[in-house]
Amino acid sequence: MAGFLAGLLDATVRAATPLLLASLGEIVSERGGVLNLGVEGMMLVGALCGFATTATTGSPWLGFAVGTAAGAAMATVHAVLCISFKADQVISGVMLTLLGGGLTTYFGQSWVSETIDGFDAVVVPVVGPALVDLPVVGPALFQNTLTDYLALALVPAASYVLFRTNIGLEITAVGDDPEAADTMGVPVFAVRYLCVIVGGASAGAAGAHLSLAFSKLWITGMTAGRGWIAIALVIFAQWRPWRVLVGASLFGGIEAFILRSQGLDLSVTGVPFAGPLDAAVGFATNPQVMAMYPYLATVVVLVVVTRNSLEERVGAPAALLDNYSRETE
Amino acid sequence: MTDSGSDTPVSRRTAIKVLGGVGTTGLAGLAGCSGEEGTDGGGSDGDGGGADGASTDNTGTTSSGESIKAAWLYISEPGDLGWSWAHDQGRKAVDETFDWLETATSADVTPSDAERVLREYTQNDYDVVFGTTFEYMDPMANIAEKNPDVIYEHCSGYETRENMGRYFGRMYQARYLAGMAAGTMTEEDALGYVAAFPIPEVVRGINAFTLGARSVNDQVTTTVRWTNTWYDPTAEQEAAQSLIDEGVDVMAQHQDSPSAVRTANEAGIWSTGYDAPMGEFGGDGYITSPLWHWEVFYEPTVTAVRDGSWTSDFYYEGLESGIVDIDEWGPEVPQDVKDEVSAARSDIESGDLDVWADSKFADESETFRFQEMASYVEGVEGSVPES
Repeated sequence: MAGFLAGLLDATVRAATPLLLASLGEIVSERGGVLNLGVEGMMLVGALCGFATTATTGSPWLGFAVGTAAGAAMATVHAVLCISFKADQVISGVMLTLLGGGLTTYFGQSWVSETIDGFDAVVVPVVGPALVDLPVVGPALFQNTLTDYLALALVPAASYVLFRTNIGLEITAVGDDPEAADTMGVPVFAVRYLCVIVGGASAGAAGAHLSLAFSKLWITGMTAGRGWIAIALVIFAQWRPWRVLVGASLFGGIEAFILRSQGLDLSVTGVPFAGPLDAAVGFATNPQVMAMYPYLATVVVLVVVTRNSLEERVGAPAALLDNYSRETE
Repeated sequence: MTDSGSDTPVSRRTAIKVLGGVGTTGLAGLAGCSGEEGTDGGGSDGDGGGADGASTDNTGTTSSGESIKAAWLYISEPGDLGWSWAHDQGRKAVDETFDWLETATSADVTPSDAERVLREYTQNDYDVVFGTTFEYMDPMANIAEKNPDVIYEHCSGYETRENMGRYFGRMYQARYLAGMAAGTMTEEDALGYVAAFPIPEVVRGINAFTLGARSVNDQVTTTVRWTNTWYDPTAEQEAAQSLIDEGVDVMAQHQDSPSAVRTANEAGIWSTGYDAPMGEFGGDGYITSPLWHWEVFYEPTVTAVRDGSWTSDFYYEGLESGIVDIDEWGPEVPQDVKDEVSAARSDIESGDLDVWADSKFADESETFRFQEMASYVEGVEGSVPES
């Protein structure tokens, strides 16, 4: 059982990282008032650009940087369309997801059969060698790829920047009431550009992590919908970085449990109502039923959220989807 | 052509192909006017005069002996090194072999959209359309009933019509051979199998693989992880990792990406792939991969469509035909394993060895084994989940 739990935790960390990176970026973008539905496409572009760079130069860090920059470049298109040209954020985002899928399918063909070394799991220095042998949690906490740790480190960083710094408060102001922020001298357009580009860079980094550290290969459409889960996760986490960490671990944990629970005997015996209970457990742990849990959880959170009339407590940016325009004043 | 390019899932490649086709036809027409220069391949049948007739004919009343148009529908992009990739290799092979054949593809065709895409090809005067996924069966049967002049071929299903045939290959034979190698090479007597969906086709592969392994090593067990997706490299990798954590030392897979093989290589264990040669992902631990050579079916089929001899039937051949095969051996596979598998292969090809002979499915009908197999043979851990 200890071995099962250790494996499960380890797999949870691996599954959570790409969600964490993409969701943190999406939080920044949405807090600035711009919904980015292009995450999936930006992840794909980040994954391919990162992979191609690493396969060519042999440097995973250079690949990670290029993948991140590629995500930022795509987000810049979103920013120009939505912030400068007031395009519909939903349409622009979906268009970028489709564009990213198409571009990477076309340009990715020659990279499909390539292999790279990528990022290997490393033991944390100093405390790691002693603690990695801890039962159950050791490998999950102290032996991961550097990009796993980077994603983890970004959680307190994002939380600090968003809630404790001037720029963070400006982002919230711009996302809640751009007109008021503008009146107060906050450069609304610059702040929104920054948020969208940071969001795209994170999505690109999430993609590059997938191709460089997780799978270490490039495959057409390899993100397999994780960009969309990352967007759902932002709502689940109510636009808060620490809750994204909880949500990503939960979603990642479910993903890991779906595969690993197949080796467990979950049947119940020797208790009253063992038969119906067994059927219930069997249904609840059916892999296809379990695959719905992240989405069900998001729905539940949405229901709870809408029952709460105080939007401030929820965290949803009031001006999300509103393209700000000075001319209308 | 304006109806085929816009807001449809017909891929860019298709659009380019179709546009290219228009261009070629136009050019051929012009060449016909100037009287010289066969721009298409009509000369192959020694009938240069007729070539213009076919290629300038935009309404597509192609008669036998002239060039024909064939289309393929794929459930995914063929860049995945999986199922669609294998079919596309077959398409490319016939496209190169026959200069009278014009091919087009539509990738990422969802089952709900299949009927529309099929109708589009039908209206654009394609002579034969290949549907390469089980879920295209019903839409294809619908379209076939309404368009008796077009020929349809459906892969992996059970419906046929006057103008709709079906085809598949005895992949279980190749699985059996891969299982033999796996059963010989495992030291832990523990094989892992990353599998997509608990449907008969996949269960059949697991059973055949296990029967092959048990034929050389009766201590061997196979543990299966269901990903419930044909294509999610991350989930496939995690499923493989969970099997590795449980101590398997040979990995097998029925998925559309080489992810499980890559993961096995990383963990330093043996692996067998599927669909595509996966040696470069498996490294030194690579054993082999059961493979498809769909051109073995596509070549005679397009030829029969062209010369008018096509009839609706069920193509279901095995190793002896070449439609299923195994990949070249990995670098560390011992000679005695190669010899043993090679001997079994000869026996299967000659009919002396029946994969199912000593199994619980020995007395079942071919139809049962094709459509209804829903339980494991001895040696596979657990039971098939209800789907």
